Amino acid sequence: MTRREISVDYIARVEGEGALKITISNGAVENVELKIFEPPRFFEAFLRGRDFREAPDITARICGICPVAYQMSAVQAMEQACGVEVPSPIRDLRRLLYCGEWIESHALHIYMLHAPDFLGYEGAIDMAKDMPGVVERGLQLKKVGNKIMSLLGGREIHPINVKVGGFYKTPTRKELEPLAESMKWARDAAIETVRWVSQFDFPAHERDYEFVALRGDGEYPLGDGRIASNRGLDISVAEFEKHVSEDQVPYSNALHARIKARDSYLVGPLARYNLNAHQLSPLARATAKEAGLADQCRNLAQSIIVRSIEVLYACDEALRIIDQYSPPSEPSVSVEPKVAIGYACTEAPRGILYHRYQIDGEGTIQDAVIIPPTSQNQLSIEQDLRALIVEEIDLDDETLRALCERTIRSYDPCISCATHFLKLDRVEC
Amino acid sequence: MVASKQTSNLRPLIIGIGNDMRGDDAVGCEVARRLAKMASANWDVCHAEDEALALMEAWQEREAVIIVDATQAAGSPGKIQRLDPTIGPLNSIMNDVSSHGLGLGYSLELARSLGKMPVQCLLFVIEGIDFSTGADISPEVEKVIPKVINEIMQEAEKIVSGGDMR
Repeated sequence: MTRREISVDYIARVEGEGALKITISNGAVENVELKIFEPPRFFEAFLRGRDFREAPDITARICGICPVAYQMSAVQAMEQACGVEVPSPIRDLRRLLYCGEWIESHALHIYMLHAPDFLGYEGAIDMAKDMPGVVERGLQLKKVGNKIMSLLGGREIHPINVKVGGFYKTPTRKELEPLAESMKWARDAAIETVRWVSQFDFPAHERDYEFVALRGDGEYPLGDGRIASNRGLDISVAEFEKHVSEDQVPYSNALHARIKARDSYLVGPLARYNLNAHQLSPLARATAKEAGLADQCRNLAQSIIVRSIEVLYACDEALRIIDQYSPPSEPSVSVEPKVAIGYACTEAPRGILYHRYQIDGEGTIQDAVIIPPTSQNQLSIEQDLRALIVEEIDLDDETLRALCERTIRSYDPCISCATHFLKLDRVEC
Repeated sequence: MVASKQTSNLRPLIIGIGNDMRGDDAVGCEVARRLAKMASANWDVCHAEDEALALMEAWQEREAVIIVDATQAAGSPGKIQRLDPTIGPLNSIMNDVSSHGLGLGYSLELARSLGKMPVQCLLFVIEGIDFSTGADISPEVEKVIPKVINEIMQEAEKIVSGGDMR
């Protein structure tokens, strides 16, 4: 009997701490374990007993890359529980804030984490030596996203201006004007980004994923919509837990999510795009077409193109909102607590982020469930890795390890969010 | 991040890095705060999150930068290390992998690749022992803060008088 073990002790260029262990027995892949060893975060537990108005600021602390996603899902779940719908200017400002987070998070992943894989660099530091202008463009794009976060959120990381019912303070039209100038530059830079990444060499590998995303009602989804898939799933947010299960696995601090009736599924840019490409702005659609991207894309590696298209869309959408903005009469609406359960799902940069809260008549949180995108993708990541290893089993350990890491990075996993998440161990027996 | 005084590239910029809510991780912030309060100070002070873009922006167009940060190492709490990142890549203690962004080590190396490293740059790293949430700065680290401040002041004075920190 031969036993071969490959380990990646710490997966580089991903958010958080995880490892991979592959066991190969007599030439066949026996086991693939994506280990998320970032410690458990216990956020759901310490939300219990807190006031419902504290949820957006507490949950924002789950992630420094996508705090807005946590805030948006939290406030909308609380408002849904209390039967409140915010006026359209507040909804638009939330959408604008979310555009900032998409731009900032996607630019970081495209330029700093993912592009070096296609160009043969160890990382962005090496890439910057040969192409400083390109890396500078990525940094500036990220900065524009940060600008939106600062203006609307009060600060770049862990915004403090979001509240249940709206915002603590809303900007005037004049205050948004300088942002429009930055957004025009960013929109051009986003087009350049799409052209740049679409020229990379992509592996031909495709997989028949079940894509799950919000389906926008007349717009590309960010903050609301029904949860849909390319295999017939079409449910309200409140029905999510009826269709999706979360299971504990012994080797990981993240739960594995799966669709009960079927199996793994994929959330994130590729899922959003496959379900909603027709709802992109005309400029984003035209740029995708120019880049050779069809309305359906099953090549995970090409998610870098889709992310770039989404950056472009976010710039376009931000400019639209700024142009049409009329400040709300009040920065927020009153939200009175009542005994209820509230549900919300929004599109974090990495995919759908589900929140459910049960509150009492005083507004005290009795129960909280948070299902982040990376834990929803974890099973799919393991299945992609298994397929890759079966196909490339004769490669030496170092090459195989690098390919596995590339696959994982294509998902842009946020391991920190998933713990409630790399190291590659390959065992041959 | 807020610069405490009007910026000028002729004045050294002191950047305190850290998290006030994580025990000894606050030492960079605390050193920066105390230096900012000093009358007739010949330097500018700011606090920065441990994030690449924010850090590079902080030292943009600055000729001389002094960075103060905590480090988690084994064995010598309160130990002060003085590093010059302009000479070459920092050793492994600063090759940080942050779960939520690109940290100080990454910022310095990216700045070097992009030709954006300050002409003069010194890094004071203080070894901590307790980084738990909500903890105060440990007595071992608190004890060395005056020494760190004194060394930074001497370096800042050298720069202002036209000298070289190295």
